[in-house]
Amino acid sequence: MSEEHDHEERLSRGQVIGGFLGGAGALALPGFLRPGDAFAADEATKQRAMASFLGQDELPVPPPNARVKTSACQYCNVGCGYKMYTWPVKSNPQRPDAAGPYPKDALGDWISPAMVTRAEVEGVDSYVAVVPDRDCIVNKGDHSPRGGTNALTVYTTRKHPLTNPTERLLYPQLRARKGGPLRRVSWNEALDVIADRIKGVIDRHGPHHIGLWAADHLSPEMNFATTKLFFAPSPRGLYNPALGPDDGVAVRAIHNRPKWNSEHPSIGEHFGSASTLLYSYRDLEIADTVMIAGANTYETGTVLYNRLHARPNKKVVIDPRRTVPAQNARDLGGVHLQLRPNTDVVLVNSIMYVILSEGREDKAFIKARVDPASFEQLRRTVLQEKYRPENARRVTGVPATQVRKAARLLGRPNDSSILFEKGIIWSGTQNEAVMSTYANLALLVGAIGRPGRVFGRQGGHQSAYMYDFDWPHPQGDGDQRRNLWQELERGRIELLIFAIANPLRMQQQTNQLRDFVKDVPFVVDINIRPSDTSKFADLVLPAAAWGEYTYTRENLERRVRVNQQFYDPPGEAVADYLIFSRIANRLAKRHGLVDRSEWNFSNWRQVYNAMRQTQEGKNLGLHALSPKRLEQLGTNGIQLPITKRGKQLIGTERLYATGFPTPDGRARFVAKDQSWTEDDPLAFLPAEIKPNREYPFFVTTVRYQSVWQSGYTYRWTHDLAMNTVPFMEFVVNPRNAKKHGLEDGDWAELRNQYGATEGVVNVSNQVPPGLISAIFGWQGPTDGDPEGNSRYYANNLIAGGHLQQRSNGAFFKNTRAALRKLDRPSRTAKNTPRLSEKQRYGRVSGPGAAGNPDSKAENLISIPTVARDVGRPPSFGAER
Amino acid sequence: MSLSSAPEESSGGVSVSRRQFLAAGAAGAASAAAVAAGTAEAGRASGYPRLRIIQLSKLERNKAVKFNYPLEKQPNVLVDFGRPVPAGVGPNRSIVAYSRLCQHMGCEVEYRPFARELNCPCHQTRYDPERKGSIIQGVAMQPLPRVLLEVRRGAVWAVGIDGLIYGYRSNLTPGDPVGG
Repeated sequence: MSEEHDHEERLSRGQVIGGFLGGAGALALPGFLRPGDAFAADEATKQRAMASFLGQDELPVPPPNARVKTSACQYCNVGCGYKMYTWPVKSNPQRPDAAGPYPKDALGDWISPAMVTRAEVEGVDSYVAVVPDRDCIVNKGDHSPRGGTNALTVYTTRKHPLTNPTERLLYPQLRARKGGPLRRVSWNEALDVIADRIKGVIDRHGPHHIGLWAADHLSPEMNFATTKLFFAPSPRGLYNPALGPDDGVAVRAIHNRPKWNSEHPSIGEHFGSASTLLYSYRDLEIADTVMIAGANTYETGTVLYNRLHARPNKKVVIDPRRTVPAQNARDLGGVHLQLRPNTDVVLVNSIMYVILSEGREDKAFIKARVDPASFEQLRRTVLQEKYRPENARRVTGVPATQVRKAARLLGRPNDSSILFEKGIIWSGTQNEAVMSTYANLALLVGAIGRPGRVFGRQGGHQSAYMYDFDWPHPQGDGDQRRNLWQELERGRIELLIFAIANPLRMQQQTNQLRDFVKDVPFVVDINIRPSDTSKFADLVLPAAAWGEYTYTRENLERRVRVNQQFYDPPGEAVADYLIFSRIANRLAKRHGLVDRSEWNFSNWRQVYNAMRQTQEGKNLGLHALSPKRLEQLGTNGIQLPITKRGKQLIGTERLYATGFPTPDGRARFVAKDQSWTEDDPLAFLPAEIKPNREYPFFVTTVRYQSVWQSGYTYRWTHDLAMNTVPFMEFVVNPRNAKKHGLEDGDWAELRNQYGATEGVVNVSNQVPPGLISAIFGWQGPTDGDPEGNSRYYANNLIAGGHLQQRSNGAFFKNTRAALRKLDRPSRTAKNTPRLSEKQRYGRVSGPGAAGNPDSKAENLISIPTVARDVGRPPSFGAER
Repeated sequence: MSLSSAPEESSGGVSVSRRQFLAAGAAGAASAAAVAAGTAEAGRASGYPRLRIIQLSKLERNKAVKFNYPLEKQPNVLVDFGRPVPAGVGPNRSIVAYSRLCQHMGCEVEYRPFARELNCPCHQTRYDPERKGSIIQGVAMQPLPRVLLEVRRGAVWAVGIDGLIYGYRSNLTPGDPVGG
């Protein structure tokens, strides 16, 4: 019987009407049935499962008296607003007027099945609805598939047919010896253990033998606790000034980089501050031209992309791949500069060549706001003949006509904005040169500090907006700070604490890192679920996740919101900042290492109140914003920094409107030059990543929307992500595929000097010949490997840029590899679990191409929006 | 369970009297034979009306046929691909139908014949009618609700829905079933 038999479902009498589970497609039914089984299950069974989970036939919707909390989404940096409704199951009235009149209008407030779940709220069995907030100025009800499924990450022990969020750490666990089993211990015992360890290391070795790697899901509250504990001088914290700023302080890594430093230090040379460049979405919306460089906003900042797509701007997309934004740019009057990887400096210099040659620079802005001597230096550099587009093409591969078109779109009189992300900040040892070149372009066209003019990150996840408080890193010069990777390599770390991160999955060269970590005498992992990192921990502490505790973060607009707790944390999980506070308190009580009166925090308000009164808090104007007032601001929050005018608190819409934090208030160009020869147009590329005979392909790591950040933050549920992207995927150009005898669904290996990875091939012209994409951070099965290594892990190929002291050395983006077909049965529709069948894989279709009629993946045809075509006011921009 | 409205023709839709419904139900043996021939088994969706959408002879390959079902205000689209597709009914198992309301925020999707996709103009979601309405790329979280079809007496009938239509808590309320 064919796989298609499932359409012959029988719908028997008395079953649930309506049915709100989809058939094939995006959502699996794990925790209930295996994907294959779920597909074979008839409609009645699926409906019964949902009805059983919810306890009733219809989708429950919030009654008028439901409790309402607000939060920003837990995921990306766009930071959409959400309302969380909870109401007891027992008192669920399901009156006809619950949640307003039905049916809901388009672009309205319909609650989809993925937004409803059931959890414990203050011990009471309750329905929970996590709904995109129409009242939030960021998204106005819009949502991506990530935010739209926030509810499916809510912890419930009941069998939820759509998800399985139960893989959580519930209580502290301790290993008696390396490699032995973890056993449950009380918080009391766990705190004693870690306090004793810290004390032991400080006494025998010194503070700089303690390593802290925190974190990914970072909040200022968490930073407050860790910065105070590790950087504040004794007796507030553990920093011992008597030993000096190098030996007296623990070694702190942050997020994806092993050193406590900015992700783009060179920005400081241009603007006087290396802090992340953030703006207002409104400014992006009213720009004439928007450049998207090294960013796939459609996949990673979807709702922001929707806002941009609904406006009549022209896009200049710089990307080696034909992504959705690139295709949209091509189709809608913009331009896609499809450059050879890592040739940004040459490409952008050639754009500036045209701008200057044709007098399209923003003369008034440069005269008023930029250092003139640096402008002269820039002119001299970029007006060299080698940067004439016709010549630069030798390096970049981009036709001159396109470069000239881009220059015209960006130059005056257009209001231009530039967004950049990982393709720029993750260019390894070239980070300084590439970052500066884009900053130069921004200054050249005046893309900063005025309406419609933005120069900023497109971002990953939302972030903490405070790092220093009253205790900046004792080593003022970022370059001088210790690098945790190096310290681990040298065997100098005696105690290593991981928090809210999973570096043993997400780092470069994790195989190497794993070896270092194994040799650390004591490892602590503070996490929400068992991860690759917790496998190596001696002590595991359970942390609360989004929705289970209260904290704040800011988004790309510097909009700070409270993420209010709305349901009970599972087991004995505790807010991350309270865990560190408890550790400090125990250190005080047990060993007198810190002052006990400094460490008595037991709830969010106390921590927030403490952090806002610090110097950094005052600089941001937070001292004027009480916790209560911030909560009242709901999903709109307020844009930092805050100015107080009488009783009014005013947010800041735009940074650098009148000056830059430099000695003379002016910004500066920092011209970057690159050299190459006719024979070696990529002479400037670092040897480790430059394709050669042995490893002839460029490989880039990329993001897929449905697997947020490719599993980057631990919160994505395996089931949802694995269902849409069930295996590592390599996208290979048809010419290259043909030469290697590869077809859709074939298994292939990518290998270089660092390692190897395996994946399923998707033949497509989304990538140009010579470039292969692999999914960043995709969590593949380890196939029982005792070390927990995965064969399907793109980071196996990545250079360890940690060796570079200056720059962030993050090489995550680009590397090289050899491609080899593997002798293994191909993935086909027949042997791939049906629910996981992903339309991305298939051959190029379209006129003239040898097509696979089953494939839809390559039809990256821009869909004109309603807003553009029929003159309906766009969803955003018009004031409500 | 009963549907007691009198039969009437209205834009191709016919609702079924109780007698007709029971008659259809009694033809269990006939529908088993229909299974063997590759058509959908007669659905007995609880409470769903039955709607005659179009005659087989009037179907053109790869051309969208719009219809409302199960309620008057619920737009759908039917396509005959001319070759077998998952969940396809008809002699070639090639006919499928889906709700036209995008599962993201309810805009109406359009069928694009050269791409063989259902595309939403609001936020660029693309659905695949050849794979049970599942998502090719885009922001929705569920596939398009699929109309359960049946071929009887030379015509294609809608007999139920798999999935929850955008905007509703339950597909059949509130609103008027097609045909009365």
